[in-house]
Amino acid sequence: MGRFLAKRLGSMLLAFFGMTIIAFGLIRVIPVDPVEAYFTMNQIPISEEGLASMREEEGYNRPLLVQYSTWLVDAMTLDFGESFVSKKSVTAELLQRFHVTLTLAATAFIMIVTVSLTVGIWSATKRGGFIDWLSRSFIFTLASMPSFWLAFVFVYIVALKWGLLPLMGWGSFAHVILPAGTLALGFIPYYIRLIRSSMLEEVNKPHVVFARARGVKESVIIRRHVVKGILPQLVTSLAMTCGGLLGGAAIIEIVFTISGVGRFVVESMFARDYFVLQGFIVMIGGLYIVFNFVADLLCALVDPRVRIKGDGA
Amino acid sequence: MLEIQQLSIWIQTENGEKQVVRDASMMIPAGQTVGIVGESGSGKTMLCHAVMQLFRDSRRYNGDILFEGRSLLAMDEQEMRQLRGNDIALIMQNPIAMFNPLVTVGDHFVETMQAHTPVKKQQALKIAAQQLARFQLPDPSILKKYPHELSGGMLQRIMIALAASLSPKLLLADEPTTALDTLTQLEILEELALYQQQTNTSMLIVSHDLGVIAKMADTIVVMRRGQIMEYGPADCILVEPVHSYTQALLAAKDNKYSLEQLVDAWTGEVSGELYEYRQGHWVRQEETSC
Repeated sequence: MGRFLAKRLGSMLLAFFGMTIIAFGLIRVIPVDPVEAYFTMNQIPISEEGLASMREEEGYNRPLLVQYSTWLVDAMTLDFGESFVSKKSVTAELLQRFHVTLTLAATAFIMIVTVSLTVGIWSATKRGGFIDWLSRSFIFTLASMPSFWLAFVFVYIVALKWGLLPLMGWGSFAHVILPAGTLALGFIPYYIRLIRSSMLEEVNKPHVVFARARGVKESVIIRRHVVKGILPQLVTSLAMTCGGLLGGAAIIEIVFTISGVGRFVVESMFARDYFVLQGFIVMIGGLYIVFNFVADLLCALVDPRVRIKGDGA
Repeated sequence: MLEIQQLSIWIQTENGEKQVVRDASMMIPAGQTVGIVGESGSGKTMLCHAVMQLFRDSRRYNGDILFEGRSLLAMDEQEMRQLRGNDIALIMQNPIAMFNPLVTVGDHFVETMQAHTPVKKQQALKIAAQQLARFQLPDPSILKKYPHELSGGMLQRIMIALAASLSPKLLLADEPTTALDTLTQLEILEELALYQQQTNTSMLIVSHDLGVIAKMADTIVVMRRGQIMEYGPADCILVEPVHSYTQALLAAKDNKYSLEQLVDAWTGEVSGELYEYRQGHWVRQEETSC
C-alpha cells in the first residue's frame, strides 16, 4: 500500500505540473492581448506607448519560460493576480463564490449517487420487471433532453405553477434543491444505465454463481459480490463527474441567477478577465486531479489487486 | 439420498432450445460415491447444476430429482437456497474463477456459514480454520488472504473445505481436480476419499478422467451426448465393460490416449434403449456389430 501511495502521489504531482502548463498556455493561445483587454476594460485610451510601458511593467516582454515560472511560483501561493474588473484578488473573488457552487455540486452529487444507485440496483435485480421497464423508458426520455431546457421546465412547473420552491436566488436550502436537481438530472440517466449494465455483467460471473451454489442469501450476493464488483468502475466515473459538476454548474447558475463561480467565470470570459480565467482553470483542474487521486485510493481499498500492482490502470 | 428420475434438460441458446441431457436416471445411495464419466459436452456438469437448481430461469427440466424424497424441481427458490451449501454442497471446476477477487478467503467461509446458521463471525472463522487444517492447509493466515494470492491447488482445497464446512449430506464434485497438476490431483483425491470415509457423506463426482472416477466411485455412470451409456457397480464396469464406448474409454485410460483421440475414434451412434445386463448394471443397446 505504501508503494502504491507513493506512486499515485508522484503521478498526481506530474499531472498538476502538466495542468499548470496548459492553464498558462491556453490563455496565451487565445487571440486576446491581456494588456489591451485591461486598457479597454478600464476605459483607458489605447496608445502604443501606453501598451508598451504596461507590457514592460507587467513583464510580458520577457521570455515565455520566465513568465511561466514567475506565474507558477505565484500560483503555488494561490496568487493569480487581480481581476481587471473588480481590482480584487482573483483568489478572493473565486473563493467568495466557490462555496455556492460547491453546495450546488455537492447536493447534485448526493442526488446522483442515491437516485442512480437505488434505481440502478433495483432495475438490475428485478430485470424485466415493471420498475426496470419504467426506469429504462424514463431514462431514455430524460437523457434525450438538454439540461438547461429541463431547468426551465422545472422552474416553470415546480416554482411558478406549484409555487413549491423558490424560483431563483440563493439563501436557504430550498434554494438549492431545484438547481442541484437539474444539475443532477443530466448525469442520473447515465449512471442508472452504467450501474444496471455493469451489474448484469457482474451477475453472470462464475464467482457469483458459486456464491449462489453455497446458498448465500440473495441480498448478500447483491451487496458483497455484485455491487462491490462494480464499485471501482463506478468510483472512477464519479470522480470525473465531480469535476464536471463544479465546472459545469455555469449554465444552471445563469438560469437560476445564482452567483456562483460558474456564472462569475462566464461573465469574466466576456470581460476578457484574463487572470480570473487562469485561476479558474487551475482551480478546477486541481480539483479534478485531487478527485481522481481520491478515486484511485478508494479503488485500491476495494480491490486488493490494484494495491499490489501499484501502477494500476 | 438422491434420486434422478428420467431427467431431461434443455438449455436456452440463441437458436432456441437445445437438449443437453436425455432421460437420465440414477441413484446415489446414502454413504456411497457415484462417479459420472464422459467427455465434455456429455451433460455431466448440467446434471450437477440441475441438482443444485442453478440457472433455473434459463433451463427447462423434465423428469424429477428427489433429495431425501423431496422433489428439488418443485421447491421454491427460498427452500432451495437453504439446501444449497448446507445439505447439498458443490465443488466446482476452475477454482480460480470461483472465488470473488475482492473478498478474503475467510469471508467466503463466514458468508456461507452465516447463510445457514446463526453463527458469529469469530466462531465461523474458527471453524473455517479447522476445516482448512483438515485439507492440509494448517496455516490460519490463509483466511486473511485474497484469492489471487493463492495457487489453484490451494484454492481447490479451500473450495473443498468450504463445501465440507457445514457437513453436507451430499457432496457434488464437478471436475474437482481438472485444473491441477498430477501430484496435487492425487493428493486432493485422496483427501476427498478420506473425508468421504470419515464422514460417510454421499458423493457425486464428475470427471472426464476415468482414472479419477475409478479411484473414487462405488458406482459408475458413463455418459455421452446427454445420455447414459452404461450404469453399474464400479467393480463390474471397470473389469468387464459391456458397451463399446465404455470399452473405448477404458482402453484410452490404460493406453494414455487423449480424450480427443477417443472421441474421434469412437464413432458409434447413441441409440437404442437401456437394458439391464445384470442386476443393477444397465447398458445401452447397440445396433450393430454381429
